[in-house]
Amino acid sequence: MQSSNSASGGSTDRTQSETNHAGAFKWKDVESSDYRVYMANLRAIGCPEQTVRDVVSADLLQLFSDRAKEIRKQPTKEYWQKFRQENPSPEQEKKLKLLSEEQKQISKSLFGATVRVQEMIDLLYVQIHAEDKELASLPKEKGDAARKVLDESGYFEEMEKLQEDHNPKKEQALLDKKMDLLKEVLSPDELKRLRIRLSREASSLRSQLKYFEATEEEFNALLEVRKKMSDDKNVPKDFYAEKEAENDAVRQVFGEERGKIYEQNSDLFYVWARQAAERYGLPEESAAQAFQIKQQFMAEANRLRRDETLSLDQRKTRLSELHKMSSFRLNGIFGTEALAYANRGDGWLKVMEQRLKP
Amino acid sequence: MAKSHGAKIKTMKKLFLPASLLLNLLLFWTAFQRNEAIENARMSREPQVASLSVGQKRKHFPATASRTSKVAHPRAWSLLDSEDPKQLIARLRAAGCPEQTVEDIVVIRLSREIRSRALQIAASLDQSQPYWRTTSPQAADQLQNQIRELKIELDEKVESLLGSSRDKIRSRLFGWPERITEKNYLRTEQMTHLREIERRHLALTEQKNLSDSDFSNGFSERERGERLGLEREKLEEIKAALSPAEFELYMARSSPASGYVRRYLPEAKSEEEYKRMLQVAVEFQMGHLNEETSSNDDHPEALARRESFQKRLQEVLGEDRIAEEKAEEERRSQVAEEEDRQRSFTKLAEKSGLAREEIEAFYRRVKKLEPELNSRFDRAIKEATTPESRKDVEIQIKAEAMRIATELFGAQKAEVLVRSIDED
Repeated sequence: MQSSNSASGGSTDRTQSETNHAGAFKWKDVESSDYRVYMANLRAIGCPEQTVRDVVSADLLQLFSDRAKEIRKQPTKEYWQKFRQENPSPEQEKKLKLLSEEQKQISKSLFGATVRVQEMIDLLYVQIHAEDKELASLPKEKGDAARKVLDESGYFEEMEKLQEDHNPKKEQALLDKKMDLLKEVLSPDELKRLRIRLSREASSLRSQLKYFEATEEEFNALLEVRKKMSDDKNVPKDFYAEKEAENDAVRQVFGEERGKIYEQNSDLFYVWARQAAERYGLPEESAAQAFQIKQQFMAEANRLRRDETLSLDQRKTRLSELHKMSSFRLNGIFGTEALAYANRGDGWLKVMEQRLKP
Repeated sequence: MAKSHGAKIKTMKKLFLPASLLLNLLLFWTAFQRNEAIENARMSREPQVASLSVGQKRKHFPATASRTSKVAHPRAWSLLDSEDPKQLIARLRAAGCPEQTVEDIVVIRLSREIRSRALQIAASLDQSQPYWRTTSPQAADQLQNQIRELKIELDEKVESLLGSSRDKIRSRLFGWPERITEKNYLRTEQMTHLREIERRHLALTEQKNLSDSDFSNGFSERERGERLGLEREKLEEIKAALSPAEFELYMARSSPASGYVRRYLPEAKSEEEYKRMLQVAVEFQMGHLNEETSSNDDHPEALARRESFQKRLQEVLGEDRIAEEKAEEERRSQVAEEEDRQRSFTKLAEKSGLAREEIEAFYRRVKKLEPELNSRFDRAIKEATTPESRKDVEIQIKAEAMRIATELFGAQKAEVLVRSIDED
């Protein structure tokens, strides 16, 4: 364990007389019913600031937890009873809100800043958020400065409130605010990286490029393509049509050959087929073969959908035959177990058949 | 991709459910988001119940208390402190430091050290990849394992140093109930032994691609069987490590089947009834695979297993008992709905600046007009299949809400109210 008292480094080899000296000290000498006195007393015995803060904030936390419990008055449950998180009544909610405000005010007056309960939860439950990782990856001085700027601006409180709201627009606005705040601490390059690391769109794109080794330029170009598409109201709101439009746009940016690789390697069915191949020890090419079967099926299904020379029943029959044929071919490549796995990612066979329904 | 597309459809379905949901559209058209927010609030563990004694209380700002320190031991801390937690604890105790404060100091310090190590590992993994590349699943799994190991290290340190579990200390601090599954009925060495069994078992399931994270992508029938076989082996090992009485406690409190019964089955009326339910859950090995709790899992094997389990449970508890519980669940859900509505009124009143009575009057009026509104909008809602047509219906509903509110309390307040609902 790291002692937070730098003056006490190596205290494990203290002499007997020193231990006796500590023995003369009694904790009741620092105890006080007034937090300010308690803190002053702890400081007076040389207790490091971090420990003073730990001791008092834990004490405060428990004090307010007990008071919150008194407000909520939830019955104690036996081990065999169902635990139900009962919502507080409006009256209780009002009291709890006041209590939380009081807690914030007290900690602010004691420590100069609010001690966030979430911060203690993260610490004691060893929880790590994306934000923490980003700040930890900066040089220490910069990371500390960035945290300080965010702390003082009330950013973390806003973020906690937002987590309850679950509103993507507000989340984006807060991310913008954060970037603005960090301008004074980080370089433009660091800011750009941080924004991309924390952005929802970039994170989603990264996870979809598992089998497409994009260069930095390609990644940023893809982000741009997606941004344009999400702003464009004419982009079809259909999953498959949207992907097709994206593939066309990417081909224009990357060129025909690279665009084709993107189309295949970012296809959801291809990704799952490739995962299935890895899981069940099948050759990597199985996924490319499966993708070809999907492509052929989709093209034919789309053609059938538009073919007015055939009745609906005829089209259904034709599609059903096509479905059987494709399943048969896929089964031959993957086998039942691996195919069931691959099909979990993208149920194109079922979807296209359903679309033919009036 | 396909899943998010599905989620969008689900959201729209929720938003455009016919009939009674029209009221929700007018009053709570963000009910979906709010419900999620409530869930998130639950996840962030708001204060709940605990049966621990009230901690030491201090006054925050007593009028007469002196602010000046009178402590005459300026070096006392340096003589108390130690890098060796054992020594620190001994010295604090010898100085008469209250046990809770000893626990706070030690647990916070150890947690900070472990969290910092976890953070460094996570951050360096992230940084090892350029920002345009994703972390490989293997590296992500490895990180999870490393963090899990760090948490176990922390648990073991706290238990051996303080003779108390980390969960117990956290419960005291946050006022949350202790986890029922905690194995605090076992001795420290036994807990360590059980952790060892669990660790070994986890490594085995991961090695065979049968872990919970693998399951999220679906198990085949063969894989389900294999995983359940591993679970049986693990249980046998645990049984061998404990006395019969301890094993009984483990099964009742900490086993996967016990978690399943408490979480997903009707509430038992007595401990005896709970044990009967548990027996059926053990018989069917419930709680080992996510399939029991996932309504999305439509694998025939999973469906058949769920069905047989329900049938057996009905036999054991009796049909009347099942019907009674269903009625009780219905009642609970109505109470919760009403509470939720009341909270929405309060929130909306706060947000819009309108009186709560006005919000309630608006709600009553909409409720009164419900049959008429339903007949007007039901069909439009059902027929709105494109984003554009859905938007059109939403605009029409908002206009209707505006008209009703204007009639009640004038255009100005109506606008505030409708905007507040819309923004919520």
